[in-house]
Amino acid sequence: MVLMLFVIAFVCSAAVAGVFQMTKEPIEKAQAQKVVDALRKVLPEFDETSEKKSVAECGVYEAVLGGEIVGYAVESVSHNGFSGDVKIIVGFTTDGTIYNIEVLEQAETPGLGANMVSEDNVLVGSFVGKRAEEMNMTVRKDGGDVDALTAATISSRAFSEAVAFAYAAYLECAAENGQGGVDPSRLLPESDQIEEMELDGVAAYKALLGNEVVGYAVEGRSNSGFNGLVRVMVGFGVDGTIVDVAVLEQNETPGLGTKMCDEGNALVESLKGKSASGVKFALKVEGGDVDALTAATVSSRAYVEAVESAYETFKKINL
Amino acid sequence: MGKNLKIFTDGLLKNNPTFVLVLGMCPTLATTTSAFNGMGMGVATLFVLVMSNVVISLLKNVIPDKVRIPAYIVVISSFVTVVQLLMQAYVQDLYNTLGVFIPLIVVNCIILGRAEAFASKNGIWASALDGLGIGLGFTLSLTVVGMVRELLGNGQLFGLDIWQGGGALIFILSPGAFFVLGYLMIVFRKLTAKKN
Repeated sequence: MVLMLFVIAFVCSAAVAGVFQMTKEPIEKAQAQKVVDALRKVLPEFDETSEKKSVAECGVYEAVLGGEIVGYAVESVSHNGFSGDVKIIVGFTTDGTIYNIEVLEQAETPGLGANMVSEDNVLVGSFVGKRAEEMNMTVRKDGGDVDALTAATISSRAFSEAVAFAYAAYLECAAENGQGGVDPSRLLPESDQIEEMELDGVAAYKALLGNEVVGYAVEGRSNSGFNGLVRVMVGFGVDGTIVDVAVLEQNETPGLGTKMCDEGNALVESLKGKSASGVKFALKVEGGDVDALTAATVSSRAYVEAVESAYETFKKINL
Repeated sequence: MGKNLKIFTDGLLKNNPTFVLVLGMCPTLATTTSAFNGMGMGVATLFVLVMSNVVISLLKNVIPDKVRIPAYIVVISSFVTVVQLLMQAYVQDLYNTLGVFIPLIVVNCIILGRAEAFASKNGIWASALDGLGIGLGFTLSLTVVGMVRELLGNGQLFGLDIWQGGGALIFILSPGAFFVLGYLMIVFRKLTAKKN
C-alpha cells in the first residue's frame, strides 16, 4: 500500500519535473518579453536599457540611446490597493516628465479599479505628459491633481502612491547621474544660453544673453525638513533678484508640507521678485519676511533655509 | 456506441456540473467576469479532468482502496501543475487573470468527484468520454455565465464592444455572479425538463 503510493507520487513528481524543465525557458522568455514590452511602452525610443537596479525600494531601468541616458523606467508597488498590491512601471524622460505608465500587476475590482489598465483612462491620463515636480500626486478628493477612476478612489489612491514612489526613486537616480528634475531656464531671466557649472559640490547654471551673464540658478538644501532633506533650485538675476524657486526633492507630509511644490504657494509668492539681499530669511511668525504654509511650519522653515543656502552659494559665484 | 454517447451527453446535460450537480462553485463564481476568462478556466479544468480520469481509470486496479484519495490527489495535482506551467509559458495573460484559481483546480470537487464516482469504476475509454463530457459541460457553462456577465456588466462579448457605454457593473462584481448563475439555472432546468 505504502509502496504503491510511493510509486505513484514518484512517477507524478518525475512528470512534473519534466514539464518544468521543458517550460522553464519559455516562461523566462515570456516574462522577460513582458518587461521589454512594458519598457518600450513607457519610455521614449532607446537602444538598450541597463540591468534593473534597486533604488528606494523600486526597480529602475536606465534607457540609453546612442550612449546617452534618455529616460528612466521605474517599477514601483503600492500595498494599499483595494485588493492587494498595485504594481506599475513609470517612464520618465530626463527632464522629469512622465512619459507613460503601464500597470504590471493589479487585482482591483473588475469594471472599477481594474479600469486602470484600460486604454486612455483618466487616471493614467492625469499623469502622462506632465512634469512630475509640478504635480501634487494625490487624487482630487485629497486636494491633489489626479483624476480618480469613477467609484474607485482607493484604487486610484494606490496608483497615485505608486507613481509618487516611482518619482522619488527617479529623482534619486537622476541626481546620481547629474540630471536634475527641473529645467533651469524657467527659473532664470530671459537668456539665449545656459551653462552648467558646479561650486562646492552644488549644482548651478549660468544664464547668458549675448555673452553677458544675466543670472544664475543655484541649488540649495536643508536637512531640517519634517522628513529630512529638502532640495530646491533658486533662480537669481545678477542683481540678486529671486526669479523663481523650484523644489527638487522633498519628503514632507502629503497635503501639508508637499504644498511647497505647488504653483503659486505662499512660500514662493513671498520670495518671488524680491531682492534677496533685502529679504530676511525667516518665517513671518519668527520675525522674518516669508509666509509659511498652513500647518507646515517645520517644512516651511526648511524651505526657507534651503533658499537661503542657495543665496549664500549665489553670493560666492556672483562676486 | 450508444452507451458511450450517453456518457458524453450526460456530462453536458443530465449531469452538467454547474447547473445540475452544482459543483465547483468557487471557480464558477470567481472567474466568470468575462467570457474569455470563464472559457479559459473551463478549458484548463477540462484538460485536467480528462487526463486524471484516464490515469485513474488505468490505475484503478493497482491503487489500494485505503489510500485511493491521496493517490487521486497526487495524480490530479500533478496535472494541475503541468497546466499551470504550460499556461505560464504560452498564455501568460490568461494565467495572470486566473491567478490563484489555477492551482485551486486541485481541490475542485468536480475532478475528485468524477475520479471517485466514475473513473475508479469504469474503463479508460468511458472515463475519457466522461471527463470530456463533464469538462465540456463545465467549460460551456462557465463561458455562458461569463458571456452574460460581460455583456450585462460591460456591454462587451469576448472583449468586443456590443454597445457603447458599459453596463450595470453589479454583474461584474460578486453579487452579479450569483444573480446570473441563479437565472441561468432556472433557464437550464426549464429547457432540459422539456426534453425529459
